[in-house]
Amino acid sequence: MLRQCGAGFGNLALLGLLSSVNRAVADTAANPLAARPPQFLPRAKRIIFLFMHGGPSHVDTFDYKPALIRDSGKPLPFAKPRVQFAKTSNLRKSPWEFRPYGQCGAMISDLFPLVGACADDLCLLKSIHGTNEAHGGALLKLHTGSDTFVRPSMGSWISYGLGSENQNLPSFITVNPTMGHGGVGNWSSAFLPAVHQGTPIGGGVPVEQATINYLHDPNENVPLQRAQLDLLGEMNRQHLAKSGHDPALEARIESFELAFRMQTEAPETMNLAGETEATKRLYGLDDPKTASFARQCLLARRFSERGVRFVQVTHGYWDQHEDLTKDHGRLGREVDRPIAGLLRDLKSRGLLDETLVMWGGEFGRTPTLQGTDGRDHHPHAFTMWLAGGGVKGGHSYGVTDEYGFYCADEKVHVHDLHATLLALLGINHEALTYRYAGRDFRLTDVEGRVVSEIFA
Amino acid sequence: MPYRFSTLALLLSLLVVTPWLRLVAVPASPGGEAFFAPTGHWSFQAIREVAPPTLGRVGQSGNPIDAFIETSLAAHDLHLAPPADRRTLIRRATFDLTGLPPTPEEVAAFIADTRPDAYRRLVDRLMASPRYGERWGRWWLDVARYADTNGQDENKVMANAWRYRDWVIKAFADDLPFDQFTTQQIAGDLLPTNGVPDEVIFNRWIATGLLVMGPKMLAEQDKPKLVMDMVDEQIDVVTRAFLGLTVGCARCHDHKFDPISTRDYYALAGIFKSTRAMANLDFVSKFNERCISSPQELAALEAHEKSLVANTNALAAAIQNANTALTASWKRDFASYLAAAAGAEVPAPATDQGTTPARPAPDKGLVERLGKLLMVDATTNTLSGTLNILAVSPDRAATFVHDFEDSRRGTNGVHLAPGIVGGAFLASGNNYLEIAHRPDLDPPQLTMETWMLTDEFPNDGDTRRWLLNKNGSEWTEGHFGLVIHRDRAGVYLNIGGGKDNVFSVFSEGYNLKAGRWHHIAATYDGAMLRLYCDGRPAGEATVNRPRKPGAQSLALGRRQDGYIYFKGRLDEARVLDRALAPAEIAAHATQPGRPVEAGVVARWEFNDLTTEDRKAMAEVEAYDALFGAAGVFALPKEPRPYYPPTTREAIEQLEHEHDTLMAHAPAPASFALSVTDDQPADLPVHIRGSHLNLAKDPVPRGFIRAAYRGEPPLLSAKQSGRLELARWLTSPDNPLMARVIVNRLWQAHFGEGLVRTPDNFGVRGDLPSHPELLDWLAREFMRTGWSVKAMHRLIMASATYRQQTRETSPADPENRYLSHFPRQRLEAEMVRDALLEVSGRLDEKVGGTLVSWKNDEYAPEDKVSASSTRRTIYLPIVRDRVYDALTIFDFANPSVGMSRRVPTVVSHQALFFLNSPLVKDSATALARTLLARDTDDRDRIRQAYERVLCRPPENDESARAYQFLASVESTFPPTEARTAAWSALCQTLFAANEFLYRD
Repeated sequence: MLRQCGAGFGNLALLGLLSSVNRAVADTAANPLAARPPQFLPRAKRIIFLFMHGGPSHVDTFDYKPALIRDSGKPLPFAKPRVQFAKTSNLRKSPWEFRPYGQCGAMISDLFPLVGACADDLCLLKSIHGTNEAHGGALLKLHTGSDTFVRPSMGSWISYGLGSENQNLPSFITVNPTMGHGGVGNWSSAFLPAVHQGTPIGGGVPVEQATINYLHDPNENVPLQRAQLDLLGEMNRQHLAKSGHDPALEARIESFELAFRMQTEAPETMNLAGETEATKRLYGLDDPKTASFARQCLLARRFSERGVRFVQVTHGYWDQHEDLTKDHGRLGREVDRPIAGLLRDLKSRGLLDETLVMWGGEFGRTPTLQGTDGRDHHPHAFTMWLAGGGVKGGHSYGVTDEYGFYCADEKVHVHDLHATLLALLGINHEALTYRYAGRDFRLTDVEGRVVSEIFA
Repeated sequence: MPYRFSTLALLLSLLVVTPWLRLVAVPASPGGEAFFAPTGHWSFQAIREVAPPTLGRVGQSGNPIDAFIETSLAAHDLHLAPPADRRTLIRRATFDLTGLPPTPEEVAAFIADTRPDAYRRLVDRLMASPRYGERWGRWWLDVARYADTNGQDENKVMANAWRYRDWVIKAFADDLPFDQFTTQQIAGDLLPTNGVPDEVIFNRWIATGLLVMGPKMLAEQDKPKLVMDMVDEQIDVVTRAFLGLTVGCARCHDHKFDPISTRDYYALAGIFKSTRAMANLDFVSKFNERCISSPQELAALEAHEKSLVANTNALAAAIQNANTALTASWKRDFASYLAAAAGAEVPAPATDQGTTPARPAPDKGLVERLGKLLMVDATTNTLSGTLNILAVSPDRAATFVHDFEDSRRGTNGVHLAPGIVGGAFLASGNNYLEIAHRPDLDPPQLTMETWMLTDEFPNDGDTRRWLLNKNGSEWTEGHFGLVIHRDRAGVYLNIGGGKDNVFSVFSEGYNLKAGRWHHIAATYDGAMLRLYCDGRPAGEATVNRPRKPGAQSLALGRRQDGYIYFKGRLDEARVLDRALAPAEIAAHATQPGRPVEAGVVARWEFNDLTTEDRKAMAEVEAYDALFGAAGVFALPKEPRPYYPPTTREAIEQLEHEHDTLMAHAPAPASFALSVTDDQPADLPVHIRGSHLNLAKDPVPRGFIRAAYRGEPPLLSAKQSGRLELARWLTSPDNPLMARVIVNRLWQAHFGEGLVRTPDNFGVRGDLPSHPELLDWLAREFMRTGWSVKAMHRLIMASATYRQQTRETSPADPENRYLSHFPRQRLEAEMVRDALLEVSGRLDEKVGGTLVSWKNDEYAPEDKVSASSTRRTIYLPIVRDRVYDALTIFDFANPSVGMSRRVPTVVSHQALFFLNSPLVKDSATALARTLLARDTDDRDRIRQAYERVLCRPPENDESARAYQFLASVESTFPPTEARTAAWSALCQTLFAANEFLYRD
């Protein structure tokens, strides 16, 4: 692959004649992460995905269902799905009140009062549906479009399609990812070039300790490393002179300089010391309950504003088969302020217009009761929301039936969501393909409808 | 797509990421069944018998490969590059055949070897090395998507997968003919077994691990879908690996490009559906395994198991008997102990004319403890009063224990014991108290409370005990009850009947203590169920539903339906018709003697006692103080010192036997991932791939029609058809398999195959650059008995293989005609293994597993890979969490079979060389080795170059390195300077392009 590159740039690099402007061009030859223009005018440049692992209940958050309150305790008056994860009993109203927010008057539950205050920036998608009723399958479906086969993650596809705006940082970062339920499969590049794999930061360690592997020189001896790189550069250039033009060798020479710069830029990005107290408070860093997710959201903004294409932050574990009232309540408190803080912060910095924020879990939860205070997995209809990045604010798309059990109208399958995300980034999902095993693969397989109705 | 050329950047990106933005071209579906007959597509045509071209000026090598290559080169006005020098050649050949660099000694020996067949000897030596099987086994493991864990949704450990890996390594080391290698993986379990040794049969089973190894959605709840997905994965891996076809496309629709129909797909699917690859389809399903221990091993294991059980039982019985005898002797001798404790003369124990040994004198420790009970003021303490009376009436003392036990024996009667206040109900484990049902015992709101004391908490079986409860079991409508669960308190409340309406609360973080009184209470106010321990809230549950009354009795000391009994004491037990406030509960718990009146509907308080009651209680108290769980004569934790010597010796003998048995335990039974045949059955086409939408008629099991000639195969009605499938794959008439395999072998030597889509020989795949050569090689492969080593010899002997690398010719930018040897980056395994090898750290142990995890447990974090120095092929492959030192260098994703890794150049690789412990530690190790040599620094620099780069340094390089060392040394304290500088130099050599690429 690399050896298909045209001649010339390597020699320039060899002679050290590159300015920082055309270095980016040279990087393209060497580096599949170089920024690439979209296919058509994009509405958003990058995505922040706030992933709520475990499956937050749509009927307790953003999908207000008066009939569910009215008929709470009665049996579901129509058939449940053929395959169910576990048995549920009768309809069960939400333990939370819903109230109208913003100009749009969106009904949002008391789990999300601060996010509710941003309602005029939200575009609620209330009829998302997937296919898999188990966590692992549903996570893989949401992240890769397939719960059957190993496929590249949406972040990898986007990195592959658009490259990175910042050569000193990875193009796809996932903060505090879940190691189970598909694990790396959810940020894997599968058959795409490995460079498009998500770079995990943390996962299994406290967020404040999270870092990128091999980023830090254990000896912390910058002058020594510089001396080594100088010697290495000489050796490699001598070797190259003997070998003749070879794009891979040239690319590798440059990659060491990139790595050296990344060692400075990445830790700087992850250091929150420079943020004002007001910003920290806005996200909720001052409250032990919200501090952890606040740090994630703030990291997401810092990566995003430096040009990382796809940043995912993960929060969990929203899997309340039991104790919904207590645990959904706790989880809502943990994320409400950080999310609202992120939206406000992006807006005040003028970043929200070009940054698409997406919120949601791998599925919703049954409007029917499981056990005494729980809800089961529910992939048949659930809510996700988008904000900024060229979508209508204060808008709601998609309708579920009167209990929120099945999608009723304006259905949005996970494939449709993917097609829409790519379209917002200026990519035709049918044309973003990769040839593997004799087939041109797509994020959306052979499906996908762009939900252009939500475009601002 | 005009934008393709809109900017230079995009153009360049296209060169790097080739197929980006290619619209899926879907040709009009070719109509009719004729399309699926043998077609004109080259790879479906029979492999031709081709004679190598006869050459004019070239062909000195006499190698037919060169004849093909040079002919096509000449046609494009190109020619082979000059031969590589010996130093380059041995590095290339050693990496190719062993995955490792040559040592400086090997390089020197090869350069000095002037024999005409020195190179042939080199190739033979390398192929005979144990390193050869490890390098080429890994080549196959990419295709086989080998892993030690399942991946996907439930990443379970496959702790026996390594047997397949070791089998593959050995197959290559032994040059197992590739047709047999194939047959064993697909149908090893179906081969004839007459007269075949067990070990051979087991190895064939192990080989079929290929079919079980894939990633599976184990928690998919649509189980028929799980099975069909697995069948699909098997079809995918088998057709890709052996046929270079993407048959999986035909699951939902006829293949868009290749002559493969859904009928073909379901003909194959029938074969795999008739094969069992899952042990069960439980909630989280389990992959299939077979026991591969020999009957002798199993018999030995069983015999050992039996001896062990017998020994364990004998030991347990001996200890039990000894304890029983010990307690019996104390009971029998109680009067002597009491007398000794009271300071009276102890009469010598009677002997039967000296024939039986004298009873041992009373144990001093026990006498002392008993004495302390006697010393308490007898006028204020009933216990010491009772004991003092016994002490002065030896006759009564002699019969006290016996009389007391006798009076209790065989009765379920109710006995009293000292309570928290007054008396308490002594629950023996088979007695209880009961109040018949009355409506007022079932109030809508209620409080239950009791004091409770027990000597031991249940630990086995159902570990709950009901204290106070009403109305059947916890699943009965109206049931309410206080319980203990191990050492936690709890409450049950059933509203609505059935298992789904059980509400319960168990104390969190509050543990009950044995031998201590605890107050346990629970309230229900119509909304909240609350539990209290010792007056403090211990948990609550939201119920929010009115309770309905039951119609059964109120019971103390057992579950009302008689299911399980409590053992211990219960006191001040009450039911009230209102939910007491927390403060009231706290008052009850702190002032147990205070009367409670308001709202009590039932009570057992045991405070209204007769003289008889008190006397009986005193006896219970005395007996408890002597033989109760905390009594003087309770069986001590370590009773052995009290046993008679003969008993002790007998027990020690049994323990010794146990140790001996354990020390000689045979290895546990071994298992292998393997399939077994299931009931053979044909499958109907699944319309659009859905198992819920089946065509009417089943498709007879079979193969890809476009790729076989002659009559359709006859598949056994008694077997799945895998054996016939394997026979067809390996038949000389199969147009694909030999071509696919030699193409992959070629690719492994030259970086690219003659067909550059090694897993796709279909219509959308690449066309062969040298079709005649491919066919000739395929025929040669079969002619030499499918010998992979013969193919290495053939390919590596060619001048094409032995030529130099040089800059790509503009006339052939992709070097498809091979006018020079292509430079290749080291593969991930080679990077790690070479680092370990040149730093002298590589552990060359062959085979076995580094996976210490339990089979079928969830894959834990891989802490082995980062610390191991074994060859990379032996590291655990954890799907979705592959060791990052491998993934950084484009290790093949072990969830998808692929035989071509696309090398990337990214800055993360550079970070790895700058900062990873593997590189740093290797650099330090090499530096130490060099510094330990008795020589000067110039020579050390030479040695470093020879080890890492397989060549001596040029003069200027040596001088530059010397200067680098000096400048680094000057920045460190003298004690560390040498090691630090040399480590830095070695690390820099590792990072050099020359190290990472092979010419």
